[in-house]
Amino acid sequence: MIKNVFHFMNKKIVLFALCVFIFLGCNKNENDNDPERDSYLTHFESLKAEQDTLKRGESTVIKAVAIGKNIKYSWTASEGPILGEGPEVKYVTSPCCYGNITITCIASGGNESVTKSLIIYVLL
Amino acid sequence: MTRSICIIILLIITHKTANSQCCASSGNPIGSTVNIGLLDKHIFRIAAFYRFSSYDEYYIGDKKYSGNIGSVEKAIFNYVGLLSAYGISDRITLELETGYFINKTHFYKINDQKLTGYGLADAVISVRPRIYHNPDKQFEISCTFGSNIPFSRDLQQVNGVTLPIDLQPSTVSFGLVFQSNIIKENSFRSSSFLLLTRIEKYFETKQGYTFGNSYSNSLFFSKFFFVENQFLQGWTSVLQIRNQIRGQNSWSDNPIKATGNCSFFFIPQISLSLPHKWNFSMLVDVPVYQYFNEIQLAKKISYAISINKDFIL
Repeated sequence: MIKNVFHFMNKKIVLFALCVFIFLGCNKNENDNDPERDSYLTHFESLKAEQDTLKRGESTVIKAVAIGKNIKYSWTASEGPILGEGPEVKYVTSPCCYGNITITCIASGGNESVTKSLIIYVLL
Repeated sequence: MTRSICIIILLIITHKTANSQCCASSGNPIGSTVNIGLLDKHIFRIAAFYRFSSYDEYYIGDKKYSGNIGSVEKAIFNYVGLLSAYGISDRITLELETGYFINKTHFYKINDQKLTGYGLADAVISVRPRIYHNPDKQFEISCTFGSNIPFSRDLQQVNGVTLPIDLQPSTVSFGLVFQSNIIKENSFRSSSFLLLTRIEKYFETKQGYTFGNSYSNSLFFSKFFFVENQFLQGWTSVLQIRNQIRGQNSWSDNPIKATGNCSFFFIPQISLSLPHKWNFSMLVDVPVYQYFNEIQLAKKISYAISINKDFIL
């Protein structure tokens, strides 16, 4: 009887240990793959366009330089499309859009996020 | 009368997303939604539809533009919509329409790159009261008052880039719509005429963008052909001429000059009446004349299919 109880308890302990192992193992993998956890932003150094004046039909490369690890970049143009992703994108002019176009970049890492903007002038 | 109205309905429904253009609209203005017709009391109708549109030529005024200002090689969208309506009484019908952009894609000339927006469009809730009805003359006037409710007020981002307003699945703005429907039928000839006038007004988005007002007129002629067999109870041929005028969009109250247009379309359609109150319909939008302010991407072609069924609740 006692032997059976121990045997049953052993089984439970082994099962419990297995669950803990799997749980911790899963957690570890998730942490390893979680860019948020291993991400930080020290400094958003610069945001520059190769050309600050464009004619319609032209495009220009825009580069963001930020110091940190696993930084995410979020881009917005007041008008017209931005192609690409990451720290270097391309702004493309549209027939509809001319004058001052504001390009905004948000660099984020960990809990930090910094916004920088620049203006591109598109000639009519 | 009911038969013809049903059939005309389907066509109009599928116009909802027909207005996408470069730099001008989000492609899903309220436009031509909710044209499901007046329903009898306690009738519930549900309609599903799919629309494809393609744009690949720039226009300046009413002429093709061949310069190099346009950055988009081609634009397409695939849209599915769901429309439901319920007859509260014989005089008032409630309607709800919503949809989903499978994709709204611009293919750019630069490095063969593309941008794609996708997701829920807007919801349109409207009420359709009957204004005048003369059964002897088979003449009816009804109107629609509706509001456009966006599923999101924020602009969509894909891969960290905020999509241009043209590629947003939602207008991200509230709006109002008014529509009048004048129907004259001839049951002896199984034909009907419908004149539909629609006005849409959008309010400023959270980002400061305002879509221009839209005014459209559609004239329909439909003729029903009776067929009696196991699979088909009849079919309807519908011819539609549609004119749409869109005002200029504005950004922080400054008009965007290369927006707004006046277009005429010829839209043939066939509807099949299937057993058990199912209807299947297909149509093609053929641009006849398009005028654009400054340089804009013009519609090449668009087609749609839809299916609907009535239930008695």
